[in-house]
Amino acid sequence: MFDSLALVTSPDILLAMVGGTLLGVVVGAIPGLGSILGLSIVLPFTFGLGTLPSMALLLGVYAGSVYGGSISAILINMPGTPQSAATSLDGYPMARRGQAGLAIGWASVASLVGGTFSAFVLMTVASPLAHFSLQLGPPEFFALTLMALVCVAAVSRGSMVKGLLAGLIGLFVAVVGGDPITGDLRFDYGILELSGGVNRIAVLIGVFALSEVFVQAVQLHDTAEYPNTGLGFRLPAWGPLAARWKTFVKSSAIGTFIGILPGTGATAASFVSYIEAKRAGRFREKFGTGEPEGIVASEAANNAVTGGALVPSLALGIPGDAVTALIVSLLVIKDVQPGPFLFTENPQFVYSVYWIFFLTNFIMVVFGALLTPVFTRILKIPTELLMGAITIFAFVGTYSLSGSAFEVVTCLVAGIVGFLLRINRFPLSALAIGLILGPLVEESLRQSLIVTDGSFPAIFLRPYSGLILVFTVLLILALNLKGRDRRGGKG
Amino acid sequence: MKSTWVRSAARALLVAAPLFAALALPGARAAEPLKVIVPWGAGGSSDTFARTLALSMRETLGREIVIINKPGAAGTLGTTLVAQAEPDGNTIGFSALAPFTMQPHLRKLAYDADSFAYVCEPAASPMVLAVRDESPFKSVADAVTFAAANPGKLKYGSPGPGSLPHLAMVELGLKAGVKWTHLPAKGGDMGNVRNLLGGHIDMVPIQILPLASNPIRALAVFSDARLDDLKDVPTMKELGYDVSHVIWNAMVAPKGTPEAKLAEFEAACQTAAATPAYKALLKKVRVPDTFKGRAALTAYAKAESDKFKVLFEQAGMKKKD
Repeated sequence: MFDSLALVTSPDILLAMVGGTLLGVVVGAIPGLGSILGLSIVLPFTFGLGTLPSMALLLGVYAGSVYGGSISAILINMPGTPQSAATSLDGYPMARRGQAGLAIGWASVASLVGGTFSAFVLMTVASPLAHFSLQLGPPEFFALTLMALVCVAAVSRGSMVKGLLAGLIGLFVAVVGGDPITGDLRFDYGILELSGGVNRIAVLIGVFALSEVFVQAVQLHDTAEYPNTGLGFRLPAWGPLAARWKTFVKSSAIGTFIGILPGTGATAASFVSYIEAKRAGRFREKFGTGEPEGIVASEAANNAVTGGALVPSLALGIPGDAVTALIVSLLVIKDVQPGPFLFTENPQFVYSVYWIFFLTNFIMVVFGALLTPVFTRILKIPTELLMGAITIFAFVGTYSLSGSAFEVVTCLVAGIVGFLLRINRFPLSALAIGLILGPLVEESLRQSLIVTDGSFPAIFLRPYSGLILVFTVLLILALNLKGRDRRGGKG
Repeated sequence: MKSTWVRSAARALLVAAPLFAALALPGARAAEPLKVIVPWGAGGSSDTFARTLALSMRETLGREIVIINKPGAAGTLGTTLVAQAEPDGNTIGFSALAPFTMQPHLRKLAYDADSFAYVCEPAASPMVLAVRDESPFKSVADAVTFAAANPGKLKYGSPGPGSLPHLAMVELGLKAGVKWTHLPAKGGDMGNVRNLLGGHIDMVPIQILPLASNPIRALAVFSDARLDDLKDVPTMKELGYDVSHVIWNAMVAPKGTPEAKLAEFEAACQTAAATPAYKALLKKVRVPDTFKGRAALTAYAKAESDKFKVLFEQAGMKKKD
């Protein structure tokens, strides 16, 4: 295992790691340019590189971009990648308090913990875990996504009705496009672009970033100037870190687990983890007002997904999302067939990949620290100009998603809807969760009903899905009791 | 001192600029890059084929080739751009069959299978009907017998409704006179291999690449003839089911592209398909080395489109008007 470490510290692999990570962090921090775009940029280079340097390049971009997204989420309330949308919920209020550098510090530590936690899982139990995960089929996915949705309802701050309404809007947007089972087109109104579904990244950018611009524009005369202190990178102190250790661990575990599941992804993981922390975290009362624990929940989880997603990709050759599919196909082209045999035939390669992934997480944070003063400088720009720049970024970023002006319109519409919801105090996070989890719930429910020949109860008559259902019910009961206590206390 | 020099030089350049432009114009025209629109994301199989072909075609055609990934709406967004591009030999497309011959029967599109000049088919990936190693089914007949006795009990996977594996199983079911149930899953072949290994489905038509590295086996191949790679696996036709499907990849140009250009592309494509780099790629993804030129491919695409039109009707999927 340790001779592989020597192998991956050879100059070409190190260079690929450093270069890939740097590109990843920058691409991640620029709204609209996500992991996939970063990988597409470096893909042509891999044609001329060896297998390990290619992997170092891709893994660097992958991990770096997931981390980089948090920087813009914190600074300008515009998640650089959808994976970081949940980070902005507490990261941006912190930045508005004049703690931008510290918020990025929290995000860095959380990303490092999440990333290395998942790397450790990958190193130790990838193979058995991957094989176990095969047993989780559509019914288990449905039970899991249902649990996540229930948690949303349970922790909605303020008006429950508003939370549910916002969630419904998200669910509705997710329904547009092809039916996952029959292929019938829904709500496409004969528009070709809608037949593929509404671009969720464009919606997230509109709802989170553009709506913020509109709100600022309306209130421009009476907004406080954006504080431009605390712009240097600052690591959180040990005390506050230790006080939130449970969230670090739990969120890393949630992220890794969701990463192992196919087709779920880092965006869902960060929201699920955020909801869980908001439910059970030590500082849950302050969530949404700039509480570092919220940043930790989101960032530890989304970076843990990267390692988790590599588990089935390497151990079974089964990628769970577009990013790992790209990595697996690269390996095939390089004559390395990922799968069960890879671990017995070429263990050195597997260990080398682990080490690359492990080291990448550290490099990523170093770049984050070095680049923070550069990125935070944008906060010194007068609000009017910054808002203009954000608008341009939002449109350029959404245009680059698929090179289509339609996504720009999507983003604009989402921005207007987001603005209306914001000024009426609807929770935007509920909308995002509906949007992200909606397709997962729908697809897994429909698939489950096929698996069980149309019987709804039979979905939960399987060991793991039954277990998850019991857990969900307990969760609801616990929340209800707590709510009653609180009401009783007040009364 | 220095700045005035720079300034006057800049002024001179500015004055001379239109001159340069005029000089450069004829040359620039000839060297306009060839845009290859791939209606899928970077790193996918269509993209990899296109990029590897482009390595050689750049030299043969003597012009720059730009691969443009335009994913969305099951490949129809990018393919629409190809169909509507100026047919001047500066834009072509590359994809597997679905956006050309299948999707026009499902969605309202600005094009149909007839909107293209088919240039070449440099790769056709075979499909096999796969089951897990411990499956009780040793042959297609076993599965058919079971399905006849238990209508709808057997579940097969596919990457999505209206995909080639889905239609292949609908057709097989019709020809064998049995009913089985469709459980689509995202994630392409491997997403379905996952469901197969986990026991969530009983069988799935996939390409042959995953066979070697997973505990699964092939009952039959959907190609017309047995594969060199899988000599022991019978074809569906041998077994008495007249079902034949292959995932063919095609380079197409918008209809109306000049004959001379099409002939040039066809020759360059053929040369590229014979290069060691391309042959090595085929070997790695376990796709047999075959090639179809313009004439053969045009007739084939037409026949395929007609076949799919009927199959979609039989599968109960049709376009909304």
